[in-house]
Amino acid sequence: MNSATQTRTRSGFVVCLTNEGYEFDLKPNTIYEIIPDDSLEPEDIRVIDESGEDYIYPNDYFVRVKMSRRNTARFMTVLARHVLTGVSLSELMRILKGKTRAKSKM
Amino acid sequence: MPKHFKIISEKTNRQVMRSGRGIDQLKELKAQYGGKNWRKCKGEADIELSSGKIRRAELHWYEAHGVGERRLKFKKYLD
Repeated sequence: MNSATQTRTRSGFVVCLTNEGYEFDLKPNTIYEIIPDDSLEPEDIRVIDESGEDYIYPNDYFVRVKMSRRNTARFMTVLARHVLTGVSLSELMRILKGKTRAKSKM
Repeated sequence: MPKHFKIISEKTNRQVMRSGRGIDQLKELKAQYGGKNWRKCKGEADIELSSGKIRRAELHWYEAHGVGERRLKFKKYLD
């Protein structure tokens, strides 16, 4: 399985590199949650975007975030506690270091 | 307009999913585009992907009087 396939079919998180054509739905340098979907084409990825719903976007707009299991669990706990859509990289680092609570977008 | 795909057929089975205050992004849509009576809609169409492949898809978008359709997004494949 190549890395592009892994990115779109495994759960996890990706960083948005560009939002061309989707300026209101994606923010560059922001982390989004992958929703695994085996029905997608190789060029697709499904993520929860700024609207809070999951949609299909170009796979090459993103790069996978590699986190340890411990940090992934901590990040998921924060996501479950607050309704979050996109999270910036700097906000993620603060969350993982325990320096701040994630801001709710409700 | 998204460059990920191209719509190559008329949209069919158009439905209003939410309207007015039922839309989370209403304030943002009004600030960006103006318009009245915003609705979040869905429909089906044939799309051509960047690879050249053609598939049937469900699309979502917002529309309002005086503005037309905005923020077209690709929800899922239907075929």
